[in-house]
Amino acid sequence: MDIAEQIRTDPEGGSRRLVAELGAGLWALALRLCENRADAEDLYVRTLETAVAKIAEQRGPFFSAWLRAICLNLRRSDLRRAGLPADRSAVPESIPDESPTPLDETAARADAAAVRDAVARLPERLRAPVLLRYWDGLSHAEIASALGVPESSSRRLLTQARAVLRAELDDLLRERRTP
Amino acid sequence: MKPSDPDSPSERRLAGTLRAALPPRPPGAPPERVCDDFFAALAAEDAAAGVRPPDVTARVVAAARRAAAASPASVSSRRPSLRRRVAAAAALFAAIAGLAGAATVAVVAALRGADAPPPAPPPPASGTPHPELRIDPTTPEEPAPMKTLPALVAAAAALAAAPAPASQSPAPAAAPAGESASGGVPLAGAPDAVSLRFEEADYVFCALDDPRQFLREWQEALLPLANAVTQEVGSVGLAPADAKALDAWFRPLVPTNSLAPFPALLAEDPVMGDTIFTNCAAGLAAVLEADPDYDPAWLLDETLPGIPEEHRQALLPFYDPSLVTLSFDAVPDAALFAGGSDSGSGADAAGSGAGREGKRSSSFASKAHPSSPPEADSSLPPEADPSLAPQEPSSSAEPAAPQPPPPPPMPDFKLLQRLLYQELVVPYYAGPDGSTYFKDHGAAVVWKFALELGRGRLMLVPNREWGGAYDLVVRYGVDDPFVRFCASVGCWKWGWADKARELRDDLAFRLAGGDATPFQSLLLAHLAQRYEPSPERLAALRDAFAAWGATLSGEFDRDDVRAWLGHWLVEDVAAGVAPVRGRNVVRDAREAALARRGADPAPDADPAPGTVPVHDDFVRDTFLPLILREVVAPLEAIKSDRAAPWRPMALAALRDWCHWISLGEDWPDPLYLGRAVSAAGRGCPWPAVRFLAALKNYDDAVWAKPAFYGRATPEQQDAAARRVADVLLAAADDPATTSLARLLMCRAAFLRTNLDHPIRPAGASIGDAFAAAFAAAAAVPPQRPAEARVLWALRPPSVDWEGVRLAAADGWLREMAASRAAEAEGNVPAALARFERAAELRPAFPEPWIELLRLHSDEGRGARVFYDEARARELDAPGAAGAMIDALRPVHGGSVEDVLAFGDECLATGRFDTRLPVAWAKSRYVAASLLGPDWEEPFRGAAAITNMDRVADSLLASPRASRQDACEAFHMRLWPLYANNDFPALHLACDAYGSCEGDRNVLEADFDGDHPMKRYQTGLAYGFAGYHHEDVEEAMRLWRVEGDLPAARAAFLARAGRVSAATNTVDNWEQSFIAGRLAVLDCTLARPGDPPYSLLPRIWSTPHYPKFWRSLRENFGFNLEQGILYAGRYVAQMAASEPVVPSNAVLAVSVRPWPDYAYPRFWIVPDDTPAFRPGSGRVRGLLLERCSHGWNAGWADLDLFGGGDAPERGTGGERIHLPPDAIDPDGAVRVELQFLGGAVTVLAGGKPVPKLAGDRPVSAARPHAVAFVGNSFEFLQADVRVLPRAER
Repeated sequence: MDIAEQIRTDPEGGSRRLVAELGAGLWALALRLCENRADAEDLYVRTLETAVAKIAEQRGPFFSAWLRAICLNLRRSDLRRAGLPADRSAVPESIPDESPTPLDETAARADAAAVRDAVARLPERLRAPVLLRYWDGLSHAEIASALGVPESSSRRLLTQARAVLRAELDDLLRERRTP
Repeated sequence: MKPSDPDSPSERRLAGTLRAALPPRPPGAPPERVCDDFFAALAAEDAAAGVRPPDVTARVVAAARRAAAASPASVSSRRPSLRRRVAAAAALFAAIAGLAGAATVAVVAALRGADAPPPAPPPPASGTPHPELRIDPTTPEEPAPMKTLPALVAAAAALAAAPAPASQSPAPAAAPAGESASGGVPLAGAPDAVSLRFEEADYVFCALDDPRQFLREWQEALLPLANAVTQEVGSVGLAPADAKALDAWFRPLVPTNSLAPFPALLAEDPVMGDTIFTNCAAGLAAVLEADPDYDPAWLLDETLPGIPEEHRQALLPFYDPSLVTLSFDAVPDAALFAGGSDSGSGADAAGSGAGREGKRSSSFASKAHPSSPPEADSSLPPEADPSLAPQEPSSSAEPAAPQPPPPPPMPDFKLLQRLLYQELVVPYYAGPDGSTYFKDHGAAVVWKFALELGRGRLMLVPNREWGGAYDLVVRYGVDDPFVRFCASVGCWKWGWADKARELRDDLAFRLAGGDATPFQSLLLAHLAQRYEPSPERLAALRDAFAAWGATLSGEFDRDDVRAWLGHWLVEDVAAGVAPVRGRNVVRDAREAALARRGADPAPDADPAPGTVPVHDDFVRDTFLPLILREVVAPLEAIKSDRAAPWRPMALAALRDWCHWISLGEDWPDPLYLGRAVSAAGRGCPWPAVRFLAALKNYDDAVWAKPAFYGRATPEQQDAAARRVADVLLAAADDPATTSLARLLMCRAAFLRTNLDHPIRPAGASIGDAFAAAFAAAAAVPPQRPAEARVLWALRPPSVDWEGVRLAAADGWLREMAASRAAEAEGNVPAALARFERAAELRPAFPEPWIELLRLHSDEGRGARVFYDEARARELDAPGAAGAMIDALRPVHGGSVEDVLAFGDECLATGRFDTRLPVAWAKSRYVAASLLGPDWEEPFRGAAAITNMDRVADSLLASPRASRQDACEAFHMRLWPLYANNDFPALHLACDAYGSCEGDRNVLEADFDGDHPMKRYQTGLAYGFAGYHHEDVEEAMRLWRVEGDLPAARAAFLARAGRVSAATNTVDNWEQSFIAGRLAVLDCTLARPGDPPYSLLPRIWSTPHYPKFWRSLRENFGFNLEQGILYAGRYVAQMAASEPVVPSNAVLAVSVRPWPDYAYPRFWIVPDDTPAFRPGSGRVRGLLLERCSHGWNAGWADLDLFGGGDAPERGTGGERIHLPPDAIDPDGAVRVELQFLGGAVTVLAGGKPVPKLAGDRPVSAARPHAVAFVGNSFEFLQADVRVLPRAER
């Protein structure tokens, strides 16, 4: 039984399973969307609460993607409410000092983390082709097959994703361009 | 976005950065879990760094319990809600179409779908499943759950193999050639084989997510909107590899002799954001699920990023993507190619997206073309199709000639299409290269041409196509010979003989080298003979036909093919019966029907004075010659300019201008204006040319889109306006500028600038100059009686009528207006009788009493009895209070105080749960208009602000609030703010509202030091209603002076009938133009002793715009509210009093896609006119369109009898088809339609058709989603045969 179905039939057990199985990945996303840990915690719990409240609307096999979409949308709403641009092009500040962060360890690791954060902040439809291409090393045809879209579409998505990433990682790439 | 070069340094750098930053991927991990794995890796990394998620399990569990405790249905019904709505609509459609069984099944399907848990996704059936596509091929036997496309494909194949149920359209006879990769199930087309080809042909859809993009682009073009719109995007479209997929998805209309179109709608689910297709029965055909992170506010956030949240919330409803519905006819073209579908087509298209040319060319070229048996629908005799009946000469310009022989039997239509594809499309793609955009654009033209030529209906090619070809040739210099041919035909069709000859000769020159195919040569010869017949050309045409016929081979080498095409391409032009301006089957049918009734179908001679010429010939014979004579001829006669280098260019610009004016176009694309700019830049001193150049400059500064030009500063805009005014001043002193030319210039300046910029130093405004120019032109007696109508059509909206009347010494104006009044008066008894009868038939309904109130509005306070009757039936009966206020105007014996007191009375009821208090606001507007310079008085004081806020708040808080209410509420607040000089609050409100263009600057600029009542953005009630008032008032006065005048009822009927016929032919913009001249009525200005019901028609001189000249946004952008203010009660009142739309078996009823405010009901009251013959299959209902020119109109004032056909594309209404046998002629038929939370009730002969349960209440968040009922058949109406019930 998938998680959504379990939450519908057994709210308590399903919720526990939700937190246990998908909580960590969601937390990773929340951390990268927010500028401090408190906000991330708030976003994290609101995402989970929203998910179980709207579980009846969830359908299809992409439960984790749906969960991440909720998280992204909630964050966008928060930003708008705060009068901030919902789509930030700048890489967010690192997590404050009260908790240890991997971003502080070395410059190289910070760069890598920034890249991963940027990938994490991509919309799901753009993130998947990027990961399939650069993580799994799939060809365009394979990506298209995996996504179930024509190759032209997967290429287009990848192009869009690269454009977003270039904008986000502008400083980083510029440094590499001028060693 | 073009793919970037993966080998470029920047791409390599990015790829390297990404690869280096990503942690190792577990080997063999499934690709579909890549995102999950990625976040798991991030989580592991965070955990290693000590950043662990907080323990929120308890909170989440509590939330889950809360959700479970709440009603499960309340959260789970969102998805089925849409399905249920659509199915309910489908059931209505089916029920009234006689498909009772299907209706039941549809309802059952909806209810089951609503109650059942979401179905699990079925396993993929073949190689490349698209996980997002689900299909509902509603079958009579079993309500099908949502399926994936492969499942659909299998279902379609099964359907094809099974005997067709009686209530379904016949399934295709033959199985497709392809076989699936799994289990040998015949494939009707893999997902990737589905491609969409719309007429806006730079979109080539080879992927299932592309319709979504297509829809998105239209949304981007059309939003923001106050109300839902339906945009027609073309009649050639969806082209899957096999028609079976279409059969499974969409239901075809039944043509008598042509290819079956599959009408469909494409829209966005307002709740879920999914992209949905519906078929012509309103059944949900397919769903493309929205991306998980899809945000419906995307356009608002892109357009106005970072606006304050409260403003954003206020604007969100205007940017709701679900407001946009695309309507198109899908045509399966795979069958046009030999072999129909092939299993490889899916694979071919799957990876390409490379455009259809390659795909289609190869499909066609690589196949043999076995002769396939005729389809059932194409085997009917051609005489069944009125469009194929022998033509009558329709133009006096054509020489009298013997009738041609009737057309021979039509060969297999698909064989013809294959032939024409080979003759036209294949050479087209083999022709000169252009950019992909132009090539695709031209392909739409070519393909449409081929389709219609195959039907023998060349002249029914929409003007959009001709215009598109012309655009490609003239503006972009496309060299393709066929596109040039099409452009030339278009020019002939529009009467641009010079241009047509020029293009034809140019084409002949280009093809003289022997590059032309035989068919191209044939078409060229056909074109020459069609428009400039001569014995030599006819001989050449016959030779060309013979030469082409000799080239036929293989399956095409058939006598019936030669006979058929020979008839259309040779014999008809040889007989000289091909009408110059094209043949319009709807008009022909209408005129034939009128002739059978003994009415005068189309007076070719000058009609009686005062009648409105709704006839092409008026433009051709009177309007255009007159303005050419007055504008161009005096300049041509100036000898000193003969050698000037700018002269040809200037004359061409002016001739073009005159052409467009004659076609009703006030705002065309600045193509000819560009010529004027060039001529002026080279020293042309003619004021008219310099004026056009100044206008272009103004357009660029003020109206041009920032994307192209950048927004000009206010100073630049003012300078541009001043330049226009200066040229107008110069024209006043120019001896070569006639009074009519000055009138045209002033009118253009007035309409295009839309601002009353002062003319310095005269101290007058452009509006004043317009009025003065009209007075001057009117002072010159027209040379021909018909020319008076030109001046009538060109008159300004605000003009000193008394002055004009005095100036028009010969009384032409008086005669015309008086005869209009007489016509109107003739309608009154019929209108009264109809409403009284309706009140008897439906005693519970307030509508008859509201209409009677209007009819008796001249009785002033005495009309109160009718208001009370209406109010007793419904407290806030739509329009009742407004009509009562009108009755209390001083012209009816009332007073400003009466008006205000009535408003106070409505407010004092405290019924803010109704719309009654809105009458308080209206009473203030009316009083303001009556007080003239003291208009602020009714709005002064804090109490006015408070009251207006209460009314506005109640309007917004109403459960029935519509998007239009949101607009109105904003406006309400503006008036007292302005009157009390609270400009900061005013600006804040404007900001919150935005403008139609989404540009707050527009509205702000309009408010700076300006009078709000002049501005349509704020002139809620009177901005444009006043447009008509002087007209009506003057006519009424003249009626009083002239006394007894002969009624012109018959002429009015004939005219209105032609108008209505024209409105059913929107693909023909000549006809649409005429339709745009709908009479506009007003009942608010009568005085004691006047006719009680002022049905004064008025030419609307600026109606439809040729679509190809206008960008998408321009079509809908600038005057959203203008359209609202124009439309509504005027036209509807005429509809109520004069039911004039016969429909050859199908009755179209326009319904509103928003909740039940204002116009929840449509009435069809039995008609007692002779043309209504019970049982004859002809229904005369109270039908007229609700907006003479379009989009988003008629929101609040369509509150009386009569439904509305909504023939203009994009009016926002949807249509259902009500066959005549659903209507009992002995009783009233009431169609009550309430969308999204409403109910659908059909009462036929007093017997209720089973009422369909209403949906759940409209969501407060998205209250005005689009629902779909029915489809439109547009120009295909003549082809549509409504099946007798037994055959369904």
